[in-house]
Amino acid sequence: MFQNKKADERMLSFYWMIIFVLITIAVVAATVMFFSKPLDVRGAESRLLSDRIVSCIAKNGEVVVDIEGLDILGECDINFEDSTYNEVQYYVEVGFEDKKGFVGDENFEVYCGDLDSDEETIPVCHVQKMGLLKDGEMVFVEIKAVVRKVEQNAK
Amino acid sequence: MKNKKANVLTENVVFVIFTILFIAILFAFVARASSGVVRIEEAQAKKIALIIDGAEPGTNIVLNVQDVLKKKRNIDNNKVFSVVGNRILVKLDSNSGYVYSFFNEVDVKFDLFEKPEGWFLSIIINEKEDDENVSE
Repeated sequence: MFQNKKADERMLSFYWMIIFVLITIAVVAATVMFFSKPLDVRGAESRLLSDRIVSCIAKNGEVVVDIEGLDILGECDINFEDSTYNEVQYYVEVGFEDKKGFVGDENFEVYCGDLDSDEETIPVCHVQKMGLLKDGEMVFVEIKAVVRKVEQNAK
Repeated sequence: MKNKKANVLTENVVFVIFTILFIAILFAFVARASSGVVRIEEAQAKKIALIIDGAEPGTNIVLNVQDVLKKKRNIDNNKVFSVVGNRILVKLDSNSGYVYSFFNEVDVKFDLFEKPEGWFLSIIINEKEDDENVSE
């Protein structure tokens, strides 16, 4: 009877040890996985870029620039140069009726489609559609802003 | 009989101490991982870049950087935050550093100053004048 109790206690300690080891592995693995991932700010960056274009082309809901011949970088005070990368990491498109003006890497436009938005290793796109007044008439303008910067924001 | 009771008590005390120690070590590990210099550099550089992207020329933003400067090693306060062209560089160690770019075509200057409450970083955003601007 006494021997059995002692054996039970030993088994209990053994299970405790296993539980401790499992908890340690789980916490260490979760921490390493979480903190080894870079902070992904591309969603916020693409929204800011999109907002910048909106405030550049419209004031008080009225189009104030010539959208068709718009020099996006010059008119909106935007600089896409980044010596961290060899290639441009942005794409901006302003669509108006059937015409569109764009700047940046045109290959990024496909990421504004129906791709799985949970996929982190692809560029992040933000699309804004709005109705604006142009010469007293309502026109619909679509703005697409894409940020790549995969190496600094996703692994 | 008394000896047996004393043994059980000692075992329990050792077990409780061991458990508390184990939990404390886990907490310390998570806290250390979350406050690593590399992580802070990245977070600060990206935060400042986004602030600049969302700001209009003529804006002056002041950040409390007391907790950030506490983590620096072997580097002067004035060299922790710098802007090179349209890139933000945050260095908390002479051997490390993180760079992140902003797209807003503006002239950015940093001013680090100390107040009784701690260290503050003033981000002064003006309209672009020169193509190349380097400040610390």
